[in-house]
Amino acid sequence: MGPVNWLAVLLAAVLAFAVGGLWYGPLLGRAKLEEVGPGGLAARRNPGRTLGLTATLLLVSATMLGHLYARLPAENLAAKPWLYFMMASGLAVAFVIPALWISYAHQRLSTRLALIDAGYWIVAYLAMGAAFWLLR
Amino acid sequence: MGDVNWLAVLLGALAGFAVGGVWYGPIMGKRWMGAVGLSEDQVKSGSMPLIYGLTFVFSLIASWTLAHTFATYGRDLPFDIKVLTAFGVALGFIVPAIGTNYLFSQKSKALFFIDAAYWLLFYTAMGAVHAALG
Repeated sequence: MGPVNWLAVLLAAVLAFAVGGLWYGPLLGRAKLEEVGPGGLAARRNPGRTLGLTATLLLVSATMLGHLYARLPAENLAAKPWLYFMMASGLAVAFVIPALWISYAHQRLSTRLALIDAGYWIVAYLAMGAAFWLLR
Repeated sequence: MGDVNWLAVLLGALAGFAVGGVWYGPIMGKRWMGAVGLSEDQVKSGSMPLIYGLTFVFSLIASWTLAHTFATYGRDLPFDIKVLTAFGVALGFIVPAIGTNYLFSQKSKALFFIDAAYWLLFYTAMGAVHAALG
């Protein structure tokens, strides 16, 4: 896997999780609830399982991100620290969001829901990139 | 940035698109409809040109970015490592993201597994095209 920065992996997952709490809480919690309907938010119905699985999934992505940075030539990252942010947000914009939107379009989900969830991934990936940049 | 094989970008997107036609058609079509809770009429009532047009454009974005990644950092990687890298993008980034969103919206496990498997197949096919054409 290369020299993965495991402390940064952990911080990245924690930050992405915290961003999710803000994004789907005070910022856009109400908008999301309007889209999924009453009783449609798993975090309210079964918080333990939902948050536990979410933390696990975010940790998987943070680990893969750590593996990706570890595979890059170290001198590249040292010379161009903005690569941490560019690559992380690029993953969200070019891989995660297109896939999400394709799946959502076929399910006939609303554009508003697609934008709320896509926005979260951009912010979450920027936060994860920031974790690796901070602890580089 | 323009230093990519445009034929591979186009064919890579088409490969993912074609896998989708088979996966959501004869293989999982009925089960997918049941898992989403859409009827055949509801599916047909959507704007197909818009939905398939968007699907293709989004597939092209992903395919170009994969080509750009290989052109920048992995020009000399062997075939299997390129396919594995594409598979890893789906497994490490897309499947967890979709899993989180589906979990929070209380979508069924069946829907998650059908869509997650699709993205793994999509990226494997797209990766194979890029690995073959370089």
